[in-house]
Amino acid sequence: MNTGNPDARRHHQAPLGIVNMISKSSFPSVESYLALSLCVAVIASATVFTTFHSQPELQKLLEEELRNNTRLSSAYGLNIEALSGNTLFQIAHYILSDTTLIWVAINSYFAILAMCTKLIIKLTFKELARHEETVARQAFLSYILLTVVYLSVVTGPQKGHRVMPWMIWGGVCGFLSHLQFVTCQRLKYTSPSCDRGSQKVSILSVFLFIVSIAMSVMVSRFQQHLEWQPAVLLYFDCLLALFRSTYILFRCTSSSRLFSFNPDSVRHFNYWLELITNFVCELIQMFSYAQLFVVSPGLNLTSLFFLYHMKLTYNCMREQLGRHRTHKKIFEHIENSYPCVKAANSDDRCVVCWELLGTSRRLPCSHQFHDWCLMWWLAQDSSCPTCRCIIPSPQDQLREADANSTTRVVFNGGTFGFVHFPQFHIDLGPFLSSLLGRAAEPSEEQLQTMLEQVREMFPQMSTEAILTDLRQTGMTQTTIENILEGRIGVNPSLLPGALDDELSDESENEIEYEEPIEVIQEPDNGRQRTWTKLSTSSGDEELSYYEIQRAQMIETYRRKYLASDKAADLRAMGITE
Amino acid sequence: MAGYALKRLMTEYKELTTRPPEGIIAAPIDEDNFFEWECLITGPEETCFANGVFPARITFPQDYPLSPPKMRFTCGIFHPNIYADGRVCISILHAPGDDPTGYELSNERWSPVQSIEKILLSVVSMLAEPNDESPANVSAAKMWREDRAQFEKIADSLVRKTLCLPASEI
Repeated sequence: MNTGNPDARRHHQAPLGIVNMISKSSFPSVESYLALSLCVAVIASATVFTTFHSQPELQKLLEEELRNNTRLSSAYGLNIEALSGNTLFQIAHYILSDTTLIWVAINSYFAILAMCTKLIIKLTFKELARHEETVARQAFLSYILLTVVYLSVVTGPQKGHRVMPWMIWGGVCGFLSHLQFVTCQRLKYTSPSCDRGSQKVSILSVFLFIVSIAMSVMVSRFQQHLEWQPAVLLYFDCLLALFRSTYILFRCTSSSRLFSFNPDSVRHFNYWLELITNFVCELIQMFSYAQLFVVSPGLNLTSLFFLYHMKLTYNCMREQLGRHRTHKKIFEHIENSYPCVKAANSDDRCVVCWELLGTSRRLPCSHQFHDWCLMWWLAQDSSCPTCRCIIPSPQDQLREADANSTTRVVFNGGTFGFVHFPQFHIDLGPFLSSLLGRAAEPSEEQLQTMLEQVREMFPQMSTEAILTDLRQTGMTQTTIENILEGRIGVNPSLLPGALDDELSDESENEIEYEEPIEVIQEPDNGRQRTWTKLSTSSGDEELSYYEIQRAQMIETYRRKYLASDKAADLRAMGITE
Repeated sequence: MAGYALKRLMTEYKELTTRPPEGIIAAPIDEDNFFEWECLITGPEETCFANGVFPARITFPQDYPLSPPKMRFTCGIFHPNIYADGRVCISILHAPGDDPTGYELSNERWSPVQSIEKILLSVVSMLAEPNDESPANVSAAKMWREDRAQFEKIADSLVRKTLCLPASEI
């Protein structure tokens, strides 16, 4: 059991699309990429330096070349005379004139950015939790996929020289958006007056804001050298970065101690802030896809790709608005039906968030909650959290409305007209397909393929049960999760250990009772050793509170056990302490 | 989403360390990640699990306390309401929407009123009184009903193992 849970291992085996697969595998890990780029960069720079040292005439040649390059001096107003003597400038020119070296330089640039990102994340958040890492990885890989297609459109085959500036830009954008994504994920579950590491996060948020402003300033300065189409794309990127940084900045401020005296209005503010930012960002993204769609030459695969992404963002926006409507209705219901009352005792706490109640809503059963705590709970259940008495809520009619809206999304999918795309989004895994809303009803053939996939993992499940669930979920992964969580019937035979138990059940009675003991004994030898070690060294300062407590607890209960009737044989053996 | 999870988990941790309940310890595995906890519960007295110290892991969702955490024993405990892989199957850990067994009333399921301490206390009483109506481990339930002596023997050997004592000879 210590070696990791079987659920996770099973998920690893599930073949669910390229992005999903790569994001779950450990390869390519950032570390290996960094090490590889470092090797390449060292080799390349060594070559450049030996060339410079062994061929002194090369320097003269480069100086000459630079002097003759009038484009640089006219376009950027640089003093070529002075600069051409500078060795660094010469090296830069040398690198830029060699195709291989350019790629090495770009790669090192990416590696440096990746290293910075990793360092900043490590400094600010220490370790990311496993699920956070997976989500961040997924988002980043989607971003890379998008950038590659994006590059192929904006540069095209005839404009190869444009690749480099775009890659540099893409690197900065990726760096910024990854940091923003991780920070947003973190901020989602911090709440007012929760000052854990908030200082570092505030510094990071200010840093992100400054970087995005610097990006915008740079774009506006270079605008005159650009055509309108790339300029608009750059501006979209800048706007996106600015909005996200502003969101993070505001979110940090609102979550700081300054406003902790009024948690409910902070929640209100955060809710609207998140809604507006998400909506605006999706809108900008949709516009930028639309522009790329227009710019892309002719109707080919890339334009379909952008069209598909436009639809994704559109669905995402719709879904967000739908959720918001639900929340608004529940909120109106709460405001109209339940009176706002001051808590009976000043130190009464809300059972949802464990913070002081103050003035809050009172349900008919006389239990009190904060507005937002009640809203989030009623969005998923229609009973009082404390006494479970059913309270009238707009939930049921909302569920119906939800069902209607989902069917409409499915209808849109049907008229979309691309035969290959419905399968495509399943491949992209939960991140994107959750944005898509409920997947279209799978065809009989698809069902069979999905059934086979599930059967491969759970040969002991009945075909009907899987099919029924697949029809409902429309996704292999959801069904697999359902089985793992035990939502499809109770079938304890799902579990490897239980399977053995049942088999032995049928065969021989004598073995039957031996089996479970073996299951128990196998995983624990390592743990025993650590415990004995801990209990002997319980005075050690390095041990955490938990470990000290654990050692003491085991000590106490061991003594108790040895004193009890059950330990008669142990006492006979002379083990008393 | 809602953003109480971290705050509330920190409050619960503080509460558990300042006023530790009898026979229960729980703490985050890593103080930088409050969503993965390790806990120890002791077997209830006058049962076959008495004096055993059983380790388990609790994983919290990001929207805790709106959704229930998941709990999993890491000592290979043999019990009617615990799956063979250690997952605990009690009604208060099931989200309001789903009902894996079909036996539960919705008012027995998860609600934000529950806390880590309450969950662990419920698990302790579950150890004392297994519910063999809707078993998670069928063979354990069968043995509990039909061969109590053998069940107690298995429980006792686990208790000894968790206390680092040699297994009984009999």
